[in-house]
Amino acid sequence: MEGRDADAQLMLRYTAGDVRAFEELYERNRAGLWRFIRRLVRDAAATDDVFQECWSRVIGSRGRYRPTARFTTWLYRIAHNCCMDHWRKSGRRAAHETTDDDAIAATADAPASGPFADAVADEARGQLTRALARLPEDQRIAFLLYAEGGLSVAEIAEQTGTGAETAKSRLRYAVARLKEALGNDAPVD
Amino acid sequence: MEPGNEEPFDRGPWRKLLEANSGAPTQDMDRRILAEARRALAPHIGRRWLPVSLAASVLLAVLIVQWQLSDSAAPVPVTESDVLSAPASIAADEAAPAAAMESAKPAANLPPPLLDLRTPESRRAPAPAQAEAESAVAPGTLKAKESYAESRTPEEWYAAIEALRTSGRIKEADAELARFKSEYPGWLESHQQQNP
Repeated sequence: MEGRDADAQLMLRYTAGDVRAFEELYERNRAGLWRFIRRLVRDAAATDDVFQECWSRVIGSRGRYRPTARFTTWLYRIAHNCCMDHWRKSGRRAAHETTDDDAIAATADAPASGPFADAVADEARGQLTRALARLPEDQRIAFLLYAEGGLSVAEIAEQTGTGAETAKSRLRYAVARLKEALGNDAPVD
Repeated sequence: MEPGNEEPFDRGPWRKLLEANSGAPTQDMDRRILAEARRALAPHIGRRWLPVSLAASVLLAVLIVQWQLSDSAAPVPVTESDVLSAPASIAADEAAPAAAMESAKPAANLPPPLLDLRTPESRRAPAPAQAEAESAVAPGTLKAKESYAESRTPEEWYAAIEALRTSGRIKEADAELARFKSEYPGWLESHQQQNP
């Protein structure tokens, strides 16, 4: 697995002193990681802080990095830990708090192809964002680690300190709620 | 498939939806993180150059010590102004016989300082340690001075006493004069009568 994990290879090259490898590694993962953190902390300024802290930890841990798992698994674990540290410092928010929903929906900025398509796509994005924000925190974390971070159920269970069945259950509930919120715009399994 | 490794649903379509539905870090953020990554490698580069810089430091230290040793062995040049500004008593001391110099040899045999940062002027003045060493040999020097005094004519001795007095070393002049009087009783009175 390690041989095919291009991100892990880039990280190893960076630990050996190749800064270009880090630039490529960052480019490959910056957007996904930022989205992940943005949807977890739900605050623009805090997202920047947590995002930077996460990469600082990656940089600081380069000497101890061993490719025992996929790089993204390691990266999103660090990101999740950074989010939890942020919550501890700032005081954990209520799981169903939705005061930032509109602001989160406003971050939907993917290109579209035409005014009608734009409107439909924007609506779907806004719905997803709001639906994610309304998910219980445990389910949202599990869903984002799975869908965005690419972690397996076992890895999510380990990272969140639960059993595999609990992690799987959270994922199923999360998807059910998201499908319900998105209606026809929801992805088909 | 192991428990926990099965996929409860296909994450691909959800990931596409998530990717199309968010912003991204600012360019300023990108610059900060990439700069941090570059800075983090700087000590790594430094470690590579550490042996070279260490060798250069040792070489420099050896060169400085060698230069100092050769510099301290060379005589300090005496300028004309040094001679003119020297008090008469010092001039008299410089004329002391070799016996006095021999008795002061232990001080001269002290090892030179490894790094003497004094100016040429301050080098001509005795350093504290050197002064201490000189004071340690003072009895020998005194004996030498006594024998020197005895070898002088009364006129030379008296001239030296007057020079001491002129230079402000009154106590030394008085002590020397007392010794002179005990050595040549009545000489001073007759001299003063002859040269009122």
